[in-house]
Amino acid sequence: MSEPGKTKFGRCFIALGNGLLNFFQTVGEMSQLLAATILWCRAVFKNLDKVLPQMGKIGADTLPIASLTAVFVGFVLALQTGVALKEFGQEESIGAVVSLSMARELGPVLTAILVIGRIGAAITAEIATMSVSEEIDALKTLGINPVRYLVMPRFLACLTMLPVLVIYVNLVGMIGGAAVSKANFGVPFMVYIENVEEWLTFEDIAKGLVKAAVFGVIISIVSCHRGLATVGGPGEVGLATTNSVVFSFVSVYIFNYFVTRLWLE
Amino acid sequence: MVGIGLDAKETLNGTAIEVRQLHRWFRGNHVLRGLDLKIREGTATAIVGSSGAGKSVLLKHMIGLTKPDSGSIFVFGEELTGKTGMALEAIQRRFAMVFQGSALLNSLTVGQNVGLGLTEERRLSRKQVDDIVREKLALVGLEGKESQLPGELSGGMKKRVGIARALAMDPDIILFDEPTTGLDPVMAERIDTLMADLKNKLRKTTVIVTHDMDSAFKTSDHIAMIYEGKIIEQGSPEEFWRSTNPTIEQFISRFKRHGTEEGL
Repeated sequence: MSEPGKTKFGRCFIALGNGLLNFFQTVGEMSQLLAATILWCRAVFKNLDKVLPQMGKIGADTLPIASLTAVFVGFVLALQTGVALKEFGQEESIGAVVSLSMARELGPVLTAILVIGRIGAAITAEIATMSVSEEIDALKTLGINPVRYLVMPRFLACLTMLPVLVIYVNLVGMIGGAAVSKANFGVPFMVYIENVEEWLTFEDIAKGLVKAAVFGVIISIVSCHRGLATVGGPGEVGLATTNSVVFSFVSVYIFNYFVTRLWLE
Repeated sequence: MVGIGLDAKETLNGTAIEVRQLHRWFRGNHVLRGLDLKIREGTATAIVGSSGAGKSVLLKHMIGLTKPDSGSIFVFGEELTGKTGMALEAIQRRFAMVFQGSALLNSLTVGQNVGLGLTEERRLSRKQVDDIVREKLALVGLEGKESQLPGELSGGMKKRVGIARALAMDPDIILFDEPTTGLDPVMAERIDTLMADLKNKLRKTTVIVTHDMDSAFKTSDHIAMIYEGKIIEQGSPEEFWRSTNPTIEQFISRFKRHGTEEGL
């Protein structure tokens, strides 16, 4: 009988096993990091000098691209749905479609994608660079806990700023939708707004904001963990950043599907 | 010459760090293989060995940055191994480490780097921290550089900022990881003088990991050599110089050819 590692099936089996082990180890480490971060949140008021700049950075770095994305998504949503609704003479319902799509799904998910690209990648690259240049070790030798100093401020900034950005993205998307409704389908602004008021509930907005807050947790913890786990040389920083972005995307998509399904039941 | 065995009469009193039967594997490579070492309080100990011998790994074990697979480390009689969280941080506060690449936080100024540990401790006022920063920078010959960023400094200046940062915490033990590697001879000499001053004037316990034998002979009063994951020999610089151990003879032969016994 041949050894498992010498047959093609055996090698595949071992690779699959190693992959699964690595995955569960990573998830376990991220859970530990999340728990430690939540515990350190008790020191938030003593660390506002680190938390507030991170919040400002997320807002300032994401706002321009978020505005651009939101307005064009609003345009396209209104355009696509407007063409379909026009066939049934229901153009005045564009406001409902655009606002519900933005508040329930597109607002939180698009914002999460933007923040992963702009902020998550930057967080991983920064912390990974610190790891490989022994700066994290230096912090420890100075009696500074890296979770308190680096992770907790980024965690709180993502947790609070994602919902704020989602409110902004929803608003800009709806304005974009209103502009296209008026320009292409002749729907007056007041009709559009009344339609939004009729269909969009506080519950829709709140659910989107809860999703956004959880996306903020996922993005901050994944980004910080991939950075802290980086070992080796500068070449590893790029790899860690790519891994972080992919892991964050996949986590956000999976979480979004299951939560949406849960809420619809 | 003192061999691998430790002096049986010696008690914990006077011993700053004691490493017992330390084993560490890295990706199938048995780097530390039952290493024993004692560092006496108030002395400067140089740990020498070829690249990849495990010198820096040993240093990181001493300060609790890396956990061993087996073995124990005692710091002033208190066991470090197995400690986590606040208990580990309490022991780590007795140390300071000067890293090979300086490990300064690039986003902070020189002054902020030096005062980082004190600022985060929040025991002292801003003015007190600033005074300590100025004093420590003056000690390493970098007066007035507080507002510069690490990216604007040379390698030697970064090392000196790293030393100032270590001194600012007023530690009992300072660990130096390859302090003169990559520096020009003038700057290396300056760093050597600084390290010698720390021992002679401030009476700090220092551990210097290096493969620069010139630096090891000038700055230390005890030298230990790592070979194949163990301390194969240790003793005073004079004893080390006269060692008949073939591995040590080979290791210091190049230095012997270029240098003299002057000053030993």
